[in-house]
Amino acid sequence: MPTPEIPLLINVGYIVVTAAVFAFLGKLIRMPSIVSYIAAGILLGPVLGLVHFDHSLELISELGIALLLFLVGLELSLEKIRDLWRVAFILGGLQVILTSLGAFCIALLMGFGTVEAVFLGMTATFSSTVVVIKLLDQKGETSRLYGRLAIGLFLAQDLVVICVLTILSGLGDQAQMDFFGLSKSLFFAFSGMAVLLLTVLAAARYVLPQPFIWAARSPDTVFIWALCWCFLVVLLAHLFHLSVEIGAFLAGIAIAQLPIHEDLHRRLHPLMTFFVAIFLVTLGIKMELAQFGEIWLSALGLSVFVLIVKPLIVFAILSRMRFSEYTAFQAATASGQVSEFAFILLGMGAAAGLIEGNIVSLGGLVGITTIACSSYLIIYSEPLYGLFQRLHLLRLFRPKQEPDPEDLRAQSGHIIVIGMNSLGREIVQRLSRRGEDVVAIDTDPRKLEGLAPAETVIGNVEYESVVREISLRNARLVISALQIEDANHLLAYRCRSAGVRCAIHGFDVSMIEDLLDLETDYLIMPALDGLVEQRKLLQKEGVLPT
Amino acid sequence: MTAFTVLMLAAALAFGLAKVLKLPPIPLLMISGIGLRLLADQGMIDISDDLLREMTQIGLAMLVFTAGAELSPRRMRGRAKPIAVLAISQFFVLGTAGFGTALLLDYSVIHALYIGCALSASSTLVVVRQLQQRRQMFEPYGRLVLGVLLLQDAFIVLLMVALLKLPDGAIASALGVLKTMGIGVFALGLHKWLVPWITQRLQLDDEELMLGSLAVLFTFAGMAYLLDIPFLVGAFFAGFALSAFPMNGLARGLLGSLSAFFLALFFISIGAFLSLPSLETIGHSFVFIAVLLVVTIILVSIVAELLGYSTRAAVESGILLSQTSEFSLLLALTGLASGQIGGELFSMIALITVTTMTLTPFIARERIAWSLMKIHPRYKRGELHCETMTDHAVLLGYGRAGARSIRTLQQHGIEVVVIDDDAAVIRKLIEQKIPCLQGDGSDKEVLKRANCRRARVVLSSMRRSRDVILAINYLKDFPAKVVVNTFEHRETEQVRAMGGYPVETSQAAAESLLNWMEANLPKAQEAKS
Repeated sequence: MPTPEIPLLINVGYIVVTAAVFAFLGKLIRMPSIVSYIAAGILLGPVLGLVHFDHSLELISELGIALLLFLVGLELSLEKIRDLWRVAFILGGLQVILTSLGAFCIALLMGFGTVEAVFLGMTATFSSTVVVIKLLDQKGETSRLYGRLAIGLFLAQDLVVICVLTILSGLGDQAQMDFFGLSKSLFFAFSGMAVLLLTVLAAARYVLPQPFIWAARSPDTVFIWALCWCFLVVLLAHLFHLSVEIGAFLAGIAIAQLPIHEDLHRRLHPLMTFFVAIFLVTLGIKMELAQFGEIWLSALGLSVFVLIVKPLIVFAILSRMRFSEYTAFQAATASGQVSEFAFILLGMGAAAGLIEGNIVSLGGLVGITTIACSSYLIIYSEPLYGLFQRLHLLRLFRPKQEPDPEDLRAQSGHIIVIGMNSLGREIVQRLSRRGEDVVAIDTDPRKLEGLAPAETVIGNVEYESVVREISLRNARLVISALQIEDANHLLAYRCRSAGVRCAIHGFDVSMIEDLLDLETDYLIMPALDGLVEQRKLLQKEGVLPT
Repeated sequence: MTAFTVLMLAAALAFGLAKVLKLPPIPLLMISGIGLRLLADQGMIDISDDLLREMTQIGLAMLVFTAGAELSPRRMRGRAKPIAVLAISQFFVLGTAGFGTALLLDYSVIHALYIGCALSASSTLVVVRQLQQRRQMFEPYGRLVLGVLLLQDAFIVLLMVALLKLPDGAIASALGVLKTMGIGVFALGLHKWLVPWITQRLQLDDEELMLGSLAVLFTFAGMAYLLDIPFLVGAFFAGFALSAFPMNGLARGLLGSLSAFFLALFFISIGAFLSLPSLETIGHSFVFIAVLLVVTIILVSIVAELLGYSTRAAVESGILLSQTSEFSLLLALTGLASGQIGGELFSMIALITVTTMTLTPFIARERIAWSLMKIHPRYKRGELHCETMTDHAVLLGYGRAGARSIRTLQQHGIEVVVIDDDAAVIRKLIEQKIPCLQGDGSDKEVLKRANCRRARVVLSSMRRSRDVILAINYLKDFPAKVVVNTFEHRETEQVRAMGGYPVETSQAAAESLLNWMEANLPKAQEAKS
């Protein structure tokens, strides 16, 4: 039975409040939110000892990672994946080999033993999928070519991580130490991957479309079903010893083939943001600061390698693969940090007795340092690219100068019509006949049918991401036919803030005053217009004198 | 992760069933929870009590926070009096009826108080869903019902504190209420000054908005915890602090996903904690359900009509409010955690909540409202006798535009008679000396009484197209022109095909909008050039 003790709430409370305060302070000095979250975690964990990483926080962190990768999958159609997989495997394979060798040599030069150098080499090799996707998402660039390349690279790295973790768990478990046992585990993991991929593709084609179309008018049902699907595939991945990331990513790809994927993405996004913020704070909470004095110099050397040499390796490979200088630079910048997997990897090495505790602390410190620094690099990658261009530093690698073809949609001068009831549809059709560039929005896909040539978007305008997607700021006019007072008020407010004209459905007299306060340009009042029309009709039919 | 996936699977099943059966998902989520408990007891699945407890706690916080965030005083503007009168009368009369019935059934005073409080509030989640499905959220009665629900949530939060502190004496109880009110005043200050200031001055992105909102939630919950009152009180007032426009609108979309997620898990977890009630408890539950239904429907219908709402609106409000609230569960859960009530009483309150929430979509049907309206006494005195009227106009349904139509017709010397089946509307028309008849506009007998065969024009603003068809069918052999306000294109075509004259309001509104655009907004090509 429920009891008054509320440990999880207290922990989450500390985390959320501290993260919010740090994020607010960080905003003042233009610090990326990821760095603020990690700093909040360091304060709560190693410094004040207020929060300890427990099973519940671990679950929340896992949920965040799963949701993040699920959302990445949600943005990938099968065509995009077909374009990507070959590049991802070549890039991933070469990068892993070159980076691990380089870091291994650096570690040897720093005086570490061979086994320790192997672990540090592996630590430096893998990049953080979670951190990079979070930052790309913040920049709204997950679907850019360089974003997709980076994601492809990290997922290829994940496959290598699975091999390494499988080998390490074999080393920890003497029963599986032999070559046969390890091969069996690896075979199990890779055949599991194939099974999972086939399951997901078959589900995307034959199982998921009908139920999701049936439930499309019930957003809560679709939302819960999509989450359930995500965690079921994650569980299936877990059965094959595959990572949460791979399971969630594949689950997302299946849903990405359905028409409702964009709306689902927007609805799931806040949930992911919450869980991932907690995950990032827990990275700070788990930090060990006791051995900082002994390891800081090695940490600095390795961090420099991860932040500079590793991106250079990625840049060189992508340049060779004939990607443009811009794409190669942006993708390379995204790779300059250590993955959270490194912590697990080092932990397993220590548990197997292969490395000492100080190597684990060193890995942790390199991880936090590189994640913090690369957050700045990724967020400010555009001015950084400008600087490198001016200094001609990138020409050494002879990259392609012509930009890569990308479909960058930026609308302006269009008219947005929200709510496809009979009024909304009538307006869209008349505007299209008038030759206007119209974007029609509704949460129900069926209401958007038959509105061509107008562009249609499934979504709820209460979400900021929808407002961005429909380029509200660049619109000539925003029209709401909705009969939802709160949504109409919010739209009028957003239009006033953006300086865009708006016409809002004033379906009830009581809301007119508020809409006028919000400087609505035109009030749509069907009841009143109906009366005028009725009067005209009565005059035409001779009931009333003209 | 496995246990969590099982919870999600149960939630997915409940939502799917809710859609198939057209029921609110809450009772089905709780039944899913009961199913999970049975499977866990038989060792078929492994779900730890810790996980369920944690989901309950976070879900509770989100539930009350979301409810508080909807408590914007702006929503009640211009309707404060009817909302307050109806909310207070329903809360206290129903609470007293529940308390009295419980005493008659031999419950202790404290248990009777819990039952009375649990019965006294209605479910915001269920009613909002019903209103949304029927697109009546922003009709006058929809606003009345929403206002009543929100005030009741505030009452139950205060009562919860008073009840929890009651074993420590009246002074402790009063002190608890005072502390609660203190937090409320602090929240009001933030609501009025700080939150609008922040929204105006800081350009917050989605992530900052969400994290900031949650930080307010946990800060208030922490304050309540430190003041030794339930953290839920803090969560509720945190929501209220953020309910100021436009913050509530900006944060709603973001917090909506979080609350949908946690609420699903919350109701499943509550279901998993329920114990099977005895036959006697089940019997008592049905007595309380009967008291709840009878008292709510009669009381709300009478009070709402006295407050000036139409009979239809009053009856529909009564039916819509006739279930217990998710806050009743919260109250029972808090009582259970403090040891003031036992598992049996908790299960009974949960059973009442599940049953009444499940019943709502079935009894809140238009057909039932119409049949209850027929019980209403007629205001015959003052009704018009139209047998001698000729060349007059007949309005089928007074509606929102009735007054304007009457004015126009009367200005041109045309006599008008209004047919409406709403007793309260008829009473008002009689008071205003507007000729009228009470009855159904699609009923031949009523149309005969209005002498439609000799009328010049019949104007219909009836909502149901079935009624419109019946009326046109009767009137097509007479010279009167039948002008019908239509809302959908399909209806327009139907009316035209039957010989009526449709006025499609959406077309008229679109036409006006485009005229405005012609005058104020250059065409796309002109703008580009």
